[in-house]
Amino acid sequence: MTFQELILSLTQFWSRHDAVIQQPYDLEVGAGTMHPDTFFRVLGPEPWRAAYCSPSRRPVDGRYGENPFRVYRHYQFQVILKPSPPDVQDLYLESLSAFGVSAAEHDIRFEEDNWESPTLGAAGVGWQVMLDGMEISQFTYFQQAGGLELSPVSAELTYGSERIAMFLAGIENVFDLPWNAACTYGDLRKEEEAQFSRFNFEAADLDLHLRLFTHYESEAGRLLEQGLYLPAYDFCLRCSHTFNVLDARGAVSTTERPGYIGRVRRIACACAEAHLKSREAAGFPLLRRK
Amino acid sequence: MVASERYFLLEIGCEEIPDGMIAPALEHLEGELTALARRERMGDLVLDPESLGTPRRLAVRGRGLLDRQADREVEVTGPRVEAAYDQAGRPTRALEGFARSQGVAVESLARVVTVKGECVAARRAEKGRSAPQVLAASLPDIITRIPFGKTMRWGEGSFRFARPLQWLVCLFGSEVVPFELAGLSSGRRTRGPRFDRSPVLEIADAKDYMKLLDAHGVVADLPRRRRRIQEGIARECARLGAGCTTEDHPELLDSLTGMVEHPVAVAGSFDASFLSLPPPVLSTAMIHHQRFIPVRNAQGASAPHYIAILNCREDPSTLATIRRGNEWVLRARLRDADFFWTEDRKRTLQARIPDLDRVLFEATLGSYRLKVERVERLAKSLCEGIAGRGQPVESSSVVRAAQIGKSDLTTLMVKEFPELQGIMGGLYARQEGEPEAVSQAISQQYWGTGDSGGRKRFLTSEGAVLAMADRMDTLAGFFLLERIPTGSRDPYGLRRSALALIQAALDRSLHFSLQDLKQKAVSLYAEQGVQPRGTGVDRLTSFIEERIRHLCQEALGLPYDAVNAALAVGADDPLDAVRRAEALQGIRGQDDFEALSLSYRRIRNILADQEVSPFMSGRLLLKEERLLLESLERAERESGPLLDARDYQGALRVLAGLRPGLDRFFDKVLVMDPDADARRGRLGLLKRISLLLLRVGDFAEVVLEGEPAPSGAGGANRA
Repeated sequence: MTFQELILSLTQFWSRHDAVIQQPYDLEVGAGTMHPDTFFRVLGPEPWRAAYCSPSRRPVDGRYGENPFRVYRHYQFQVILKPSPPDVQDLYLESLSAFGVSAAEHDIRFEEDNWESPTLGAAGVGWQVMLDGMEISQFTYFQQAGGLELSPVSAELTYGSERIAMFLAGIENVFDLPWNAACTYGDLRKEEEAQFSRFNFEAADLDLHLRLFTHYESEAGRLLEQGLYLPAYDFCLRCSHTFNVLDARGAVSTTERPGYIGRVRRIACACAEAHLKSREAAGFPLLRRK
Repeated sequence: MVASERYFLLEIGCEEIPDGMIAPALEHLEGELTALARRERMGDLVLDPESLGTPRRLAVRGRGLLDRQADREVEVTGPRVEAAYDQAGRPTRALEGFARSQGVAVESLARVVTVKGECVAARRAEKGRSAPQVLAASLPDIITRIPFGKTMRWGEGSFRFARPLQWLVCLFGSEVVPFELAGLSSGRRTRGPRFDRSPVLEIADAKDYMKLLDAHGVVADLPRRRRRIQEGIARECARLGAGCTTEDHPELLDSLTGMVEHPVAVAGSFDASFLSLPPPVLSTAMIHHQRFIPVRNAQGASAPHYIAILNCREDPSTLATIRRGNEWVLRARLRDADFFWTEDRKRTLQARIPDLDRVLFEATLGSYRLKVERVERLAKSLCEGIAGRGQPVESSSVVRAAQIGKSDLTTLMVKEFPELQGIMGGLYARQEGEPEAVSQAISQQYWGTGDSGGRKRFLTSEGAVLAMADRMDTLAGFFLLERIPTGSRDPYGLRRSALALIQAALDRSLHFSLQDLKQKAVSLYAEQGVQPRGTGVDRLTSFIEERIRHLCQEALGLPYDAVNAALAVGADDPLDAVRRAEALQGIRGQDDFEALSLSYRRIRNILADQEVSPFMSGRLLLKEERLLLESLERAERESGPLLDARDYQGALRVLAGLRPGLDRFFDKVLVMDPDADARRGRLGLLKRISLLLLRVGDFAEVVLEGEPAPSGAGGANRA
């Protein structure tokens, strides 16, 4: 199975299970959770199901394209189910059969792993899912997002696409993974990994990024005052990514870290509250379609 | 009423709960259910001997419950007789109200005498409820109150549990005990293992529970599951070759037991080229992410094998598939470790010191770079203090180890495997050609905190001194910030730090002054601008003394009174205090010692309110006085060198020789003589004796045979 077939099969599976098939957000994000269709939609009472593949950038994970297992940008497949259905674990296991993995022939385990995103004011309880000893997914019941307690609770399933594809193909180097019949993952991405690792670790202009962080932050604040919480959230994401670049670049000491994270969180929480108010004012439209 | 033959069964089915939460949850359920049976007059619930729990089910089974509670007569006391009837003897409104509330006629009320005086009482028959009725009424509450460390909500509900509930089985014999909880109704349907698609299984009778689960491959019995794992490991070891053994990791076995329902041990291998990695790195790479058990060969060296505990079907093709997967993952892990090992060594520990600027120790106390600077100076001064007491420690090695000892926090390996901190520092230092004493000290700096069983004893004095300085720096820092442990709350592990500090001194027999060390630590913080937030730091000394007390009693098994006696005269040098406590314990029970203790109490009482200087010279009138002085001078002469050499047991034997002289003295001599000169001489003599005895301990603290222990005694309660 090629990398793109894996993503297609997951997309089809979740499409059959009533998920809105979304496209990735067109800004840098560290995880699929930051997509507005997860971050905002898990708030409030409206039901929601979505699935999408989310390219996720984590500057500190970059290895110049030289590590067989680690990349700065990977492809998460993200599913959000709200409210979490009672048979969500069975549903998840069934989704694995979309790419030929049957629980009967493997050792699949749900191992405690609670998730927390201090930048989003979000936290959840759940597991990492292990397939024959390999972590293939993160499975989380969201308890909190944007600093707000969530009710109903959403289940978030995050599949590590590269790992699963490598595991299925028995391939030991991510760059050897067949993307389709003609190209490998390396053909498409190796140069990008090398350049962005250099950018994140060596070349990024520190002063510029420090200034950008501040500008993005104040722009988010200004937009929030005008009730434009969606554009404000874009600036929140930009802050978050800028912080990640600064962090990779070695410009953030451990003492300063909580300060930056807190600044991003404050914007995220304000956006979350604004979103909830706006949905409430609209009478929670998706509730009526139930 | 006879106990029923029927089994009671409760099984709470849930999504995989963390392994560490299973045992405490079962303990709660088992305790609450037996207590419920007793409280509700339902007989003795005798639980199955072994706990029943897996990641997906918490179960309690037992027998001995009565089918139903016995009927009984309930008596409810009402108003006092004076208030129940008016002067004419007619029922008052109060009495009528009471009768109504109890559903009985006024005429049927009885009279009882209570502490309040004579009262009316209503008696009525109460029908016993059936066991299922009683259980159904209480179970939801008992389950709701399971003390999980962390709970969650799911779906649209507000119920909290460790992980979402999936089913509830509750049977009394073959009868369902019906109750509702979190939108679920109890019944008789459980589920089989995940690898069979969690089939629904009907439990006809609670007595069949284990048989049914067994038939479907679920080993619910925790101890049996652990044994199965151990047997599987032994079998796989034998298959790998003669003499192969697994490394001993009891906690890993516990956690594996809590993670599977149907354990299958399967050995696997990895490329022998990875054996070039240091053994701690190899083991950690296997255990940390994979929970594989490392294998040693007949010579005790790392073998290119591991044993995995799987949860799966046992057919050969499934096992082969999983093993292939496991080996694939492990290869990636070992490659990672190999990459870290190679990459990390491209920069020396020395070169990494500035990077510690960016690693935070504590927000107010600063970075690890600052900690390293403080610990280096603190360790140096500790070396000097120890050397001053006649025990040379290689100061240059300790200082060097302090300088580069935290640099491994910046390595890729320690970032990936935090449990290798210190160990990696030691390995990298050795690779860089640092002296052996330095690398050993670095690798031992975090030792000494485990409980006595699994605790590693410090192998070198340099390692012990580094650990002592590091712990004192941590203790002083958190006490300056008033972050002092209270009750069971000790989030920074300060009790363990204090214990490790003392343990290091004891392991390597190092004499030092706690007070000097603390003051130096505080002054180093002051130089850095960290000022005390309150008076907490004054309590650090007594906090550490409590740990000495704890260690003497718990780890060394010394009785509290010997410990009190020794610590009463000072614990500034913990090793010295412990040696004195041991000596006092060693000599107790001997006649002369008991008599001497009694005499000492007498001396103490006599001297209590007196301003007395020790007798130095003067005229002693009586023979008994002169003989006592002679025996005192002899004791001083003979015990002096022993005390200086800290041979306290020897010194105590000499001091016991004071007994006959003292006995005769107290028999014949009136201490409080009206003649001031005589009195001064005698008091001075006693003062000098007491000073000598106090060099070992306060004998008055020793509880003699047949005496009651003083209330509040036993240092253990004080912490």
